Amino acid sequence: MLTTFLWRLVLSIPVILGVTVIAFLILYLTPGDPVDAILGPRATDEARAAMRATLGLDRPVALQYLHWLGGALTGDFGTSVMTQTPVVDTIGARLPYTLLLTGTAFAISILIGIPLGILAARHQNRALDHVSMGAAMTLYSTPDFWLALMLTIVFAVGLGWFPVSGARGWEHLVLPALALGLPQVGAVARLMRAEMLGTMRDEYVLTARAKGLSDGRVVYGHVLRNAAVPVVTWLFLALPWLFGGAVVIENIFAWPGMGQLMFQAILRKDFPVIQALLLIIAVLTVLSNLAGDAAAAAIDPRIREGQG
Amino acid sequence: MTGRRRLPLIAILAMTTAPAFAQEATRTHLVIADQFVPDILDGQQSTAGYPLSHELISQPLVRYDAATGVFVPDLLESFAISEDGLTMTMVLPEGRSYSNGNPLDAAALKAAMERYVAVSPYAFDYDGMGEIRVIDARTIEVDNAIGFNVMLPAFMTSFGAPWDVSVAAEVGDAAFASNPVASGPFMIDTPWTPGLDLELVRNDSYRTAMPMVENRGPAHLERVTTRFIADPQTRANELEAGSVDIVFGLPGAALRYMADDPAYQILSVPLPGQTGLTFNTARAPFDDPALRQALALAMDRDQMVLALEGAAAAEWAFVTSAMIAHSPDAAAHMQSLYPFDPAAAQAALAALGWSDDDGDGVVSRDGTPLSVELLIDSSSAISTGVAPVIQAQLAAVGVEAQIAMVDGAAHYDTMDAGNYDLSLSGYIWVDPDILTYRFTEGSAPSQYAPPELAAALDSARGVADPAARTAAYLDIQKGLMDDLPMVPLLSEMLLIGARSWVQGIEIVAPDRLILNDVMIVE
Repeated sequence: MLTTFLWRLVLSIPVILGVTVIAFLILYLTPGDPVDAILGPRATDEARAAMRATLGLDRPVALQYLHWLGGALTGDFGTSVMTQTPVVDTIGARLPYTLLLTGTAFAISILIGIPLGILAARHQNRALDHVSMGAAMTLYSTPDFWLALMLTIVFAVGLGWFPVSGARGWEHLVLPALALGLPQVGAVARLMRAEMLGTMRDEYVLTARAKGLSDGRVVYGHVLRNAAVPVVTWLFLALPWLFGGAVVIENIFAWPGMGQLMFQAILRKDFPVIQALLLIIAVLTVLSNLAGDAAAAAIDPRIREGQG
Repeated sequence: MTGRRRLPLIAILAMTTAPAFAQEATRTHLVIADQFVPDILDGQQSTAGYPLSHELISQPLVRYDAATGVFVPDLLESFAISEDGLTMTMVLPEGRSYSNGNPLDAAALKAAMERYVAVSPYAFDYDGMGEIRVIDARTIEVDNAIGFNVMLPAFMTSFGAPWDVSVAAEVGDAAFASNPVASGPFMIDTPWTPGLDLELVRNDSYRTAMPMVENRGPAHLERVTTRFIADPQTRANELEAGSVDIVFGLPGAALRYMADDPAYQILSVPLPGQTGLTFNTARAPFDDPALRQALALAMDRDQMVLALEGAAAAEWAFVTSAMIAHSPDAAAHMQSLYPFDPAAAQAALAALGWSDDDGDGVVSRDGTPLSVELLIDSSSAISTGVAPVIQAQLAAVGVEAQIAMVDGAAHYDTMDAGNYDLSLSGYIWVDPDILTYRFTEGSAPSQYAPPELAAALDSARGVADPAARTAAYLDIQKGLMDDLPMVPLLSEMLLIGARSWVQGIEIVAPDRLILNDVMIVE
């Protein structure tokens, strides 16, 4: 099993390299000169040339990429155009906030979504099923930015229970985490219900019931374990979506994470920061895929033994 | 433990220990939500212009008094420009220091000006600067071969303000970027981490010579927290929730429910400059001045202002009311030439041979429909908000305009290369010298750069007498209005919202928020 994971890790290296090449080319082929974005219309040609040299933009694109890649391999992602500090430090200051936000949103999607799906499956075609799946569908189809605005208007401006924005205390985390996590709750709950219902029809479950096991033991001891495998895999695959959603949510809530940084870096064409963030997101995507596989293997011995 | 390793811990600690709401703070603690997220705090190295955060820390040498149309001292005790306009004498007040106590004397000011030239991306503002001579402990003389009209506007910004060079040299530019020292009304309490709030405390050594304020320093407020909130609606929500006292950059939509509510005070400040309809004069069909003039008659600015909900005002001149050397005669001249008159626009188009023969609503000439692309900058709220209105107004006279939205840098490059038909573009700068960067060879988005205009702009740049300079720019504007490479349409309004308990807010030209007299009185 370990060999399989290590091999998959090795195979992911070309994928990550490919992402960096595509990201680099897209940034440089997109119209718009970062020097213009920085200096504005009053800059002299000399000032433009000096800024171009400072940013390393006066070299051929291939050389710029190789230079960047060489630095990235040693942990040097260059200097941020915006902050004029090492990109590693710039992102390092933001990463904890994004991990906290996406981690909390991830936990919300699991802690609410999975019980909701189980509840709906155990009460199939009854009122509780319809209500919980209606709520799940509503959450899933709600855009996160709209949900963010509604949560703010009701719970921050209206009731005053939580702050509108910022990151100065635990209470600042509640609304952005809900805005990011609740749409995922809908997806998790629906998937969990479907998997539970499918598994409950398997023969081994009928056998367990025929042996006289209690309903709770059948559901939580046998059905849940097998039904959880695709849900867990899906959850880890959804992690990159959470990072993507964080770009919008962090800006709405002035949450000082990587999403906010990405937005500002794109506006100011801060190429070193954008490239590093894209690389981090690519690595996180690969790692979350591997983590999903590892979690599935931990739950299901057939996968662990290479039979899944 | 390294700084990098400490960061996650700091983030978690910050989340568990900091106060939840600003209103729980003392009555001398002001919380501002700012729309501009600065890159770094050192105004001289920054590429962010002059955001509010820099303005609170630093102190410009001079200010522009819009009421009298002259520059007045701020940090300086006095200044004078020689009769030939080429030498400026600056006198510092006795005993002034930076917020850390280091002397802010003539030598320190000279060093700060020299560092600006060395490190600032906007060092071109000091074009023409020659020798800086220290005359005595409080006095310097600065030479400039092209006069001080270009330099003075930089002297009234945070990037032209003195920053403590001795500290920058001691700690290095990188460390100075997050924890700089200057002489403004407030100073940094704790080194700033980009993305987080900026905590400032009062600088007790601050004094100003600005005649526009009652309190010459130090400020009444003891602390200011600047919160950087990029989303405009979030800023409005913060003000509504009462968790910030002042919002710098309120969205126009917030005026719907705040304008008549006594809980708020709204200040609408016209920004210097304008956004207008720019024609590509180098290619058909807009290489024909008569066609440009016809379309100018189709522009209904009042409708545009309505669509933008107070975020802009109608503008007719190139040198607007918030700019130096403004003349109301320019707007009057434009209004007399090109009033909103769609019937006259259609008649003018018909006279040029453009007519809707096939009844499809689009005029054509020699079988070619007048169908063009309207290029706009996606990062400009004014442009994105008003583009559909302009599209409709053009359609009303038979011109089909397809809106093409690109990001700011691409917008600039596309126009610079002349690869467009029509564009919404503009400028924000206090000095009319900005026209040099819009209508001269190598810097003409409209591709309109006649040599005689370049000569006139070059001449007006160096005119020392304010009245003569205003007259020179009036002539230039009239020339532009005849050929019309661009139709001035809108002046962007900076909307500042404050809760009613904030008293004494001052706005100094063109758009600077001054807190000297501010007190919080519930």
